[in-house]
Amino acid sequence: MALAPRQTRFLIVFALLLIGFYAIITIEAVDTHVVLPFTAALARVSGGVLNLLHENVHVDGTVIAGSRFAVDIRGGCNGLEAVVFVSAAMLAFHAPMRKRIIGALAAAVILESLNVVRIVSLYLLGVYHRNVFEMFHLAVWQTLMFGAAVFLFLIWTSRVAPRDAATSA
Amino acid sequence: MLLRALRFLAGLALGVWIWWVAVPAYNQLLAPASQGLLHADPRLAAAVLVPQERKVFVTSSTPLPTATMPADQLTYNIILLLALFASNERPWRLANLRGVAIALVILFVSHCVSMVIAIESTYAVRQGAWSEQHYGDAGANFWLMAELVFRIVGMFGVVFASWWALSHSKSVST
Repeated sequence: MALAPRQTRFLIVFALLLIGFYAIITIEAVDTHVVLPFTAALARVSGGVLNLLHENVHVDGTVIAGSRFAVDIRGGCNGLEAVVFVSAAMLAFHAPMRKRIIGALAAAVILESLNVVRIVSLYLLGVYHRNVFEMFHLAVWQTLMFGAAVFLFLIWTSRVAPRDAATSA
Repeated sequence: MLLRALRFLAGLALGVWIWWVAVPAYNQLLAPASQGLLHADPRLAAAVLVPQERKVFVTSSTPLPTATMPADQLTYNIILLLALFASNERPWRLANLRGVAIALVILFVSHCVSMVIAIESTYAVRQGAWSEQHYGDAGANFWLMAELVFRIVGMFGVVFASWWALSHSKSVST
């Protein structure tokens, strides 16, 4: 059951970075000037996709509203938690710093793209299958987002450190 | 990686089903275990945790205000845990199943801690005058921050760390 020292170090640094990054995005000034505008932009993109699907929605700030349903994208639904999670894992991993930063940026783009799919699908579930909306909102999509973050991390480690990936993070 | 992703999705489906069905019974275990931990705080020593379906109610025979905790929202990280272990190569081998069993114990402890943090945060911030009387600003901020961290990134961080450690430790990988 023993972990190699490098693996233990990875887990400790991961935990510290995870808490540190999450603390940063919950600071009020960061929330007002970064997180909220980002979430509003995410709402506009998702609203645009829904309109392409002929859902006829309008977006006001972080709210996407149609004639039958509306969603308000809040903290926890903007994908930033999964981005923080994968960034903490990649930055804690023993690899060249440039590769860590590029990996974290690429993972952020992929996860936020997936998050648009999440928002669109949740809106559609709210309109057409409201009985399963809560289960998908809470359990399925949160797990898929963090699962995707873990998979991106695994794919990245197999590329930046193929020898180390399986045995010693 | 594709096969691994498929195993992950199968584990996710199984995890959602187990979580959905087992939450009421699981809350029967979680409530008394968390209550023992909660009583370490003298302000909440009279609290009685009563599980009911997917929620846990905080009651008391003293003037302590009551509260309702959405217990299922504290425990759904079990889905990710099962999905990650299912994604491992040969998931039914003994070493992997042993890893799942150990991780479930770690997760149960983390759920008790999570429940205590959620209750402390509720009583520190959302009980009006009672909160102001029993918690200072620093205490209220601490519990609120702890809840914020633990409710999303913390609960998944525990799952990832458990899976990573138990899937990469020498006894499992050899």
